[in-house]
Amino acid sequence: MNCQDISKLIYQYCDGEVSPEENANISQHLDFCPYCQYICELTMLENEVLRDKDDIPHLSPAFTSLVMSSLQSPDNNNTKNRFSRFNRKVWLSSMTTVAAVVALFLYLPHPSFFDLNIPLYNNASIHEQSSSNPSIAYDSQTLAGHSNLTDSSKSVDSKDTTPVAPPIIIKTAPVPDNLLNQSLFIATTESSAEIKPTVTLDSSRSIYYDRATESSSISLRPQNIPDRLNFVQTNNYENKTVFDYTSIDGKECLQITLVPYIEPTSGSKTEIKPPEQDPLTVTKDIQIADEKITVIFSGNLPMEEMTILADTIQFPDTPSN
Amino acid sequence: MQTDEMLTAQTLRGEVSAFEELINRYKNSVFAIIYRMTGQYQEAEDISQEVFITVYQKLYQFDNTKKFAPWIHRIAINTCISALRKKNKVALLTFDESFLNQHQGEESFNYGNPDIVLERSELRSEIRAALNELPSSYRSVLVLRYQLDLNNQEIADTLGLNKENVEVKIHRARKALRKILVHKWEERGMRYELPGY
Repeated sequence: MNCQDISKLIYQYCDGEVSPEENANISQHLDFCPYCQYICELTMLENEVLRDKDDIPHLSPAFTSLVMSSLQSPDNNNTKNRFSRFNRKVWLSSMTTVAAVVALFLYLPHPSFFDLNIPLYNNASIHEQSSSNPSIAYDSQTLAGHSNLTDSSKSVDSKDTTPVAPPIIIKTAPVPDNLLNQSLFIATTESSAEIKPTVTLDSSRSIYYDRATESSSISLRPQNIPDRLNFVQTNNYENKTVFDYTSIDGKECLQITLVPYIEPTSGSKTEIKPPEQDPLTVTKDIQIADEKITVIFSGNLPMEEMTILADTIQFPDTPSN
Repeated sequence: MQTDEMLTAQTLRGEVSAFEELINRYKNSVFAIIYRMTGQYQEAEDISQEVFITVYQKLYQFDNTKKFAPWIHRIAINTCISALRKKNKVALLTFDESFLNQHQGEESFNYGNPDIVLERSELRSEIRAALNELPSSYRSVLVLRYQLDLNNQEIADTLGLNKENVEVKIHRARKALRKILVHKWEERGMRYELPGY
């Protein structure tokens, strides 16, 4: 190595980023070259200055509260802009879903099939309906949650703006040719069995047929959520779906994550992480028809309540306990 | 302990305390970046506040599958550069050769033969002053590397570059710093040397 080679590598050398071989060669050269020793020492001094944090003054202790107060200030024009953008998005989304509802009701041959009086976006109402007439509640809920119908219901009934958890799709089944000309249908036990005879279906099971992709799917949505928790949002990832709930005061939160079941264990099991861990997480494997999924509950609900919730969670396609 | 990503999700659900926690976690690193870029306490504090307000407003754009730290540090650097530009304090230079080209031909110095020997503390002050003269694009990459101790990949994530580009840019920034230093000494008729030589 000559001085020119060293000058190319000197910064990496001083940062400890050269290979052991280069390191040995550079060190050897430095032993007899005062010019490169000088450059190396200057570089090390520059490093010291670059890394030095002693001259950075301490931030005011009130900094956090200053930021928080400016965020909550009504004069924050930027915040207004954010919400106006948000409202514009919501408005466009609502208009789209309203259009979808109108188109759907015009297309369906027997719109009276749906019991529209059932409130679909209130957990307590769903429980009441489920206990009095589970079949109707399941069908309506599943249908409403599908393909923007839930949001449409919300848009039509502007008095209750509580969002509702949309269902997730857990699987698809091949659709027989004689059903391909339908855009949407509700499967009865018989027609569902026709689609996939190996599946033991509940009478209330809903199947959605997507004409564009020529596939059918089964929709799911968590039930039994405590009434005080409202649905916030759902996020769909490649292998999981996450439902977020929060209490009105924002102090309690619950996340329900659905992932494919992969552990080679049999039967249902509940796992609880040690209570000192924050947040508390409860994991439960659930059988839904012929599918098994793992449901992960996490949040800051009391451990007892979280465990009960994990043991009693239901989905529209879960056989009633 | 909750992750940054959990806190961002909670903030989006309206939990103010979660955002407060995020501020407490990142205020020092954000302030350090901005203070190093501006060199003035009050200005750095004001811009840091602006950064957190921007983060709060844009939180809905944050991809929760990615790391929060590079995202907020990127906002800090961009907000800072933008604020400095408004005050005409920053040359509109990007990561290119233009800065280095201004100081071409300064490689040939008579090293090791000092006319004046600087004390080590003086030399540190000289280096610090030279650092403040660097274009903001160079300064930001050096701050991320040496003040926040980020590796090349983390810097790449923060600045939206690829890892190889970061390596090149750090090297160029270091060379630019050296050239400013040498140029200053040359202007004063000095040859530079460390004590002991």
